[in-house]
Amino acid sequence: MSFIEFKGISKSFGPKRVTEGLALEVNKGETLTIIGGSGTGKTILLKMLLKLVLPDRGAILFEDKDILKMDEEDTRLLRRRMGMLFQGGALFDSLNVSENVAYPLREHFNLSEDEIDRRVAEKIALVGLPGIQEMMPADLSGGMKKRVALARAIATDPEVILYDEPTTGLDPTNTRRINKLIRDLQKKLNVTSIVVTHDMESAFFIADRLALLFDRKIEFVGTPEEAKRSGNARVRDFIEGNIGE
Amino acid sequence: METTYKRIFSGFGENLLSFLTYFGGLAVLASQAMKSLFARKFPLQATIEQCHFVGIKSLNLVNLIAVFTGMVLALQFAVGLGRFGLKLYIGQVIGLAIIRELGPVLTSLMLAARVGSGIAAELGSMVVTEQVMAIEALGANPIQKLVLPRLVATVLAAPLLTVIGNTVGIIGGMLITVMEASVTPRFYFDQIQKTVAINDFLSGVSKTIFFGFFIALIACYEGLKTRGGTVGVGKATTYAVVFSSVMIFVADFFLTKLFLIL
Repeated sequence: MSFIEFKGISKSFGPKRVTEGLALEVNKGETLTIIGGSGTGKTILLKMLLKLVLPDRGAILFEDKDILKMDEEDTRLLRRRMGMLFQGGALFDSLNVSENVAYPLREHFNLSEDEIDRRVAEKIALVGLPGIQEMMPADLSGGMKKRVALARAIATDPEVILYDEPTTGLDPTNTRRINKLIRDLQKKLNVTSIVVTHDMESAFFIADRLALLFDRKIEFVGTPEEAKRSGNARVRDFIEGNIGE
Repeated sequence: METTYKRIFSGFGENLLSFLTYFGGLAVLASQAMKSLFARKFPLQATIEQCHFVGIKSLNLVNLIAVFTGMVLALQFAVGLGRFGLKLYIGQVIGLAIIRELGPVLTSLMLAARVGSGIAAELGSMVVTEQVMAIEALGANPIQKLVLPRLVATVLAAPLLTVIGNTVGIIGGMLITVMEASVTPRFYFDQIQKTVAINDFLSGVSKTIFFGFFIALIACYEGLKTRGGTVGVGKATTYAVVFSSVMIFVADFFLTKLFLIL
């Protein structure tokens, strides 16, 4: 039994068909990296999993329950079990770092202020940024924003973490730092991670399995080693950088 | 000939459809906001912050507009009524004009310009930087977190600002009337007291509750449907101010008619 399963997912935006009958399974505790060119619908899959975007057809099973049939309260509980790191961080400009990380805690739990402060400090330390609680998002660098956003995504101790292009726009040092952080969090928190990226170096570094999204469907699923040995022309082309942007 | 008719009707149909779609969108947003009013955890802190932004921070602008409106009205009526030797009654006309019409409408237009644009720009920026989606992803309801506090704050602030604006406008009118018509402030206020009835005051102030609702609703709607990056934010801001200003004038006519019947 898969932990998460996309079954026959089709989605169009006006005349543009993004996915068509897409199927993908995610196992509990693994890091699955979805690779594919820009605009192929990788991010949409993550957003569908949180019901931020709804598919036109198909089902998305989470522990064998179709999330598309969940009511408002069940959807809220589902979102508590998942954390998402948005491509640009999506930190709330009007709130400082501490308030950003505390946001999901206040939303989902009835905790004392001391307990919230303790959890916020713990998560901020986990992403390697202790003592920045009072800073505003505008004062942070790109890499720091991503790490604070990650601290916010893991604030509720989710079982699933969704990463949307976690290293895009970062310099090589921050890219390595974020990749290492994803791997470390995987080990420390034992979560299931789905990472969307078109950065092959990152994909090979963090993935237990890779899935290539091409032409509205999942073209290949396998371990990084299997991907490297694959005879699939599209997988080879993508790994060698011949398709993508 | 047939093609011309076809073009005219299809153009009319398209405009009608986009008009209905727009108002349908506003109605859906309004109903979602009303529904979220009774959902768990009313966003009190955010509403207080919005009251400060919408109310307190608009006060200087509203007062400035009100005092000059009162003064220019007094100047104009000094000329107009002076032709009939009725300068003494400037207070009566100013009182009615400001309390029934100019105070509510000008205050609301100022709110549309300052608050409407601010709301649309802020929410639009939040949409394009995925902050609105992040609110949803974190298990919160963006309508309750973003729309409801702005709606409540604007509906509360509009009538209060109007009452203050009316007072300041009447005082502005007094300053000029005293100089132009050589009447005492006491006489000026007596004239207003004799002419302006409680119904005049209530109909003017009541209208602003609706104006405030439309300003916040249109601004939130424009902000939340922003697409296309910073260009989209600019368009949302412009549309929010233009549509809410038009809405104020259209609603003003119908509400005035309604209050006259009641």
